[in-house]
Amino acid sequence: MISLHHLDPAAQEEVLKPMRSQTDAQVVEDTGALIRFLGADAVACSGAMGAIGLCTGGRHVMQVAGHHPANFVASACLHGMRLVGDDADSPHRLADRFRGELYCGFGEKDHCTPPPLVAGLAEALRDHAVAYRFAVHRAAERGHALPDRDIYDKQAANRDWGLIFAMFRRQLRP
Amino acid sequence: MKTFLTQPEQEGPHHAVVLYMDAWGLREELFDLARRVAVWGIAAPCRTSITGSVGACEPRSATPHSA
Repeated sequence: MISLHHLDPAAQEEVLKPMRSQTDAQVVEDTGALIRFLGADAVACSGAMGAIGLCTGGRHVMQVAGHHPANFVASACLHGMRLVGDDADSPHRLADRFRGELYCGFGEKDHCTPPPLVAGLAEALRDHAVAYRFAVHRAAERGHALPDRDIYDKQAANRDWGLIFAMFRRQLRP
Repeated sequence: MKTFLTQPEQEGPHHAVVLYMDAWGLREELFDLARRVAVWGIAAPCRTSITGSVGACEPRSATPHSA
């Protein structure tokens, strides 16, 4: 399947339309409902949870980690976007609320996360309680972790999964 | 809120992992990623965008699958 940035601008806008109407606050609120649902489910442990977000979901992972810190202790962003910005709600501003660990996997060729942004995020997360790790995958493009796309990068994605599962083993103990 | 939920076959309880999707919407590509997490030993609900009516959140009844 084609990746988003290989579509023409009009088609991209069509794909992005639902996303543009979704606010961070909705995601945080929906996640609260999900936490309550899982709290009533005997199959799910209460308390410590993990999160993985892709693209815009990466921003959402950081939002929920900051707004539901009692739950999210192992969070991962894969080719996340809008992680650092001038907006008042930019997720990097939540750095002091994060608990446990945060991992970000970036593609070297991802135009949404140029080196200054990657460095800026690391700087924003330094000296806070959360243990932050990241990887910049050589030659990987935006969307590298999506297995059905033309830009899927198996080596980069496998490295992400290895690091994410290692984080889960450290933070989500039986 | 539509949500896909997958869980290990082994008896729980398991830690939950929420998968936050990209712009494309809920689809098999994401369900596969969720299964990959759940096979390892934890439940992996995968949430979708929108609605706002969180009172209607019933992930299990939406699209039940097992790992």
